[in-house]
Amino acid sequence: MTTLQDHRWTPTIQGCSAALLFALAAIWSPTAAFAQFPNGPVRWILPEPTGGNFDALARGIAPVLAKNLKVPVVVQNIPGPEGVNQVYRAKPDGQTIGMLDPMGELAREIVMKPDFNVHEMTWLGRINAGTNLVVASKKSGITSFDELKGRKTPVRIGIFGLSSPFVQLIMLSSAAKFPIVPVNYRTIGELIFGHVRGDTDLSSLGVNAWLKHIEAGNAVPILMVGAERDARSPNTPSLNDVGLGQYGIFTIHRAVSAPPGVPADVRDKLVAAFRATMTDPTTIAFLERAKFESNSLWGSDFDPIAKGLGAALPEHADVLKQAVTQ
Amino acid sequence: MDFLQQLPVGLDQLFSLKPLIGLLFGAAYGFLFGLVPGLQPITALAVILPFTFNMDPVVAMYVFAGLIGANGRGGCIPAIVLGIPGTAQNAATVFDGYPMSQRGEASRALGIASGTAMLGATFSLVVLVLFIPVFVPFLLNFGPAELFWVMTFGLVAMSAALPGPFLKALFAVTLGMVLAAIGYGGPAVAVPRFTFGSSYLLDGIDLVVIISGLLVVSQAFVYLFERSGMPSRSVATGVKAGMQWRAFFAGCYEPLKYPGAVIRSSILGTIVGTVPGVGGKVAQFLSYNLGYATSREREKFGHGSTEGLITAEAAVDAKEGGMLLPTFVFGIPGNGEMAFVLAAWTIYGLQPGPLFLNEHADLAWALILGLFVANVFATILTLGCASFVTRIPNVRPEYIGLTIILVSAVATMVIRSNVWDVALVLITGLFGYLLLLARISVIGVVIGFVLGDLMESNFYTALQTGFGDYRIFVSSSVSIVLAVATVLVIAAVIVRAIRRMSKMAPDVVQPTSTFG
Repeated sequence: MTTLQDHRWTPTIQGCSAALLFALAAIWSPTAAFAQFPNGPVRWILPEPTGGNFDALARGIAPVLAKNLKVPVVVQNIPGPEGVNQVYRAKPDGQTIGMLDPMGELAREIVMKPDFNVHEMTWLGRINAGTNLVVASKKSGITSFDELKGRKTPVRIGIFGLSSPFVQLIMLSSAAKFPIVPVNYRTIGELIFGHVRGDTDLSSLGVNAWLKHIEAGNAVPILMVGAERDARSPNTPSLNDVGLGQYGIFTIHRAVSAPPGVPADVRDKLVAAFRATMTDPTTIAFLERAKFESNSLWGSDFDPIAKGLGAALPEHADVLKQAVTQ
Repeated sequence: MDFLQQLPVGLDQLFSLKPLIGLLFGAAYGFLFGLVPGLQPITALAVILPFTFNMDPVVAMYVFAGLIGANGRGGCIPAIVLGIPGTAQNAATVFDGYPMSQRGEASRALGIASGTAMLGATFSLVVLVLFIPVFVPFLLNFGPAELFWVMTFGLVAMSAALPGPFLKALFAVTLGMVLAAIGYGGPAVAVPRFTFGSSYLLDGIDLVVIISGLLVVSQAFVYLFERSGMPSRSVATGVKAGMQWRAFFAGCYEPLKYPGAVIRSSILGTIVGTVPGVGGKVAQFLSYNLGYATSREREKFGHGSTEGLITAEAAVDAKEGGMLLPTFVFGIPGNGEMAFVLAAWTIYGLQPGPLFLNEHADLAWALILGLFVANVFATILTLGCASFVTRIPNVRPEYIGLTIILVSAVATMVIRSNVWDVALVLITGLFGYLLLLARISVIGVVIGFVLGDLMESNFYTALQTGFGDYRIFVSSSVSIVLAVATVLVIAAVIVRAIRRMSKMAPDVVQPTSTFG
């Protein structure tokens, strides 16, 4: 380890200043106020951990998006509110976009009033709406959703921060009247591992994340968090099957947003690029191969969804706050 | 078909042209990334991932294996020659690699690192293949409570092992833990902590900023302000800077003289690698600590000890086999790099999960064999560039310092494209330099930052799994053993501190009577 006891003090202030100035000059490019969009690589922030469905989806379609925007698209994982914050505070020039979970962020706004306001974001649309699958751990002994109704002993639910799966489980626990204890993990991988170990009783993720674990007997499918059953797990009941069809609105949307104040022409270019990307044969083939849902909505087609979520979630504010602060 | 029965298929793939080219490309690319301080393997993976979409998945796996296998090896070169870790997992290499370099033994140190890396990687890959059925139940014993004790043990033991007064080491580690808490965090829903209303601090401090600032730029300031401190100008040995081939090759065989250290550190590295969310950054410190505790020459640790260098390097390379285990067996990434590999599988239409080994044995063998051969390529690459790198001490120190600062600035911009990150790197670099002047360990701050963060998150998660009952921390035999070990280390540290203080106590002067 470096120690300085043998060295004499001979500061080189001029050299240091020159180095710092040069460093700053090398990396600080002057920005033109009204440069044509896009005028460089587009940064696509994912406020989600590496390795999940958001990550795989974004990285899968980023090359096609880059082709349509005619600039590189750089995907960056900045998990949690830090990532949302970076999208919110980026320059509204279209060069920074985010792939957000609007339900999770709306819930965060209800529960804790973060420094960013998701209502002010420029919402471009959604790549797809996914169906989450609630599974029970083998160790929990739970085999059906009916066993949870009216249960007195708390159920440990695996979560990774304030996200759609957490919100969905809060809603379900409130509707079916079973108490929950959130168990928070840093990454989806750790959540799955904890579930396999039996540290959690219930967890909810995209269907694809659980299929092989169900096959191996490590997870028991309990409920498909969607109005209808899913072909990937056809025997698992849906919300309609258990009499909770009204919660079908609280599905997970993998939505794309930009900072507040993005000019309309830039927004339209981004929307057009995403529309072209999602209808590109390469993207369609990728979605089929990776078993992702193919139900994107852009621009004004997505607006009613966003408004609907924004209106429906606050009705459950008390339930959300209670679950989070217990 | 059984995974082991597919080994001939895997070997056949390995000796095909495209996989070999992919492997060599991945190794060179990963090696170069490791060589540049501040550039992390995840960034390298993120850049290369889209280019693999149109590849045969087997070839893509060889590219990833090459990148992951060679990255740490590239990172150990600046760690040894300049005292600056190329990647976060090379921080402990500096402890003994750099002092060796300062006394003119850079080539020997590089050889020791290369030989150790081969042994560590081979060990873990063989263990992975042979002991998968045994490892799975073992792995399932490590939950958040157990990990909490592992991190706590590591923090306390490393504080005791750091050079200098224990209180200064404790201060450094604590400072690192406080820095890790800045930003969003907390038990369940993340809340801002220590952000003072700053939107920049809401983002937290990235590990790359801490490593770059405290370990890289602080050392650059030493070169810049001190115009000295460069290694390999050893007056005592009269050895000039530059590659000494004989010393390098002799160094490659030296780990064989320390079989105990190699095996212990490889076992630890493999085990740590298997635990999701832990990784090489932790493995190196825990292994170094173990080496220090078990060595008969622990007084040499931190002063250019061969055994110290071996314990640091073996674990880093052994973790590679370990991290494949949860990835293959559970479809759970062993670390950030494996998370990228899993994302790639999903993009290719492959479902990660418990049955992956048997359903896609060809890909599994591609990763295993690729990691092994990547270390061979990395040794060749080390030979190729070490000749140049070991001549760096011939350059004036202030030019080295300036170059390092510039490279760090650019590398930091690559991470988040945030100019304030660069400013923070320079500020933490200056702060690290001041810590060095005060003889406070900057490595201790990094250890506190890495281990403290994991300790906190596992503490909360464990408590939540136990419904808030603290007995969860002693609810399994593994956690009890780890808890007892931690308490013993704390007791040993306290006893040592008391002994030191009693040795320093002034003699009591007996009053003399005026009457004789």
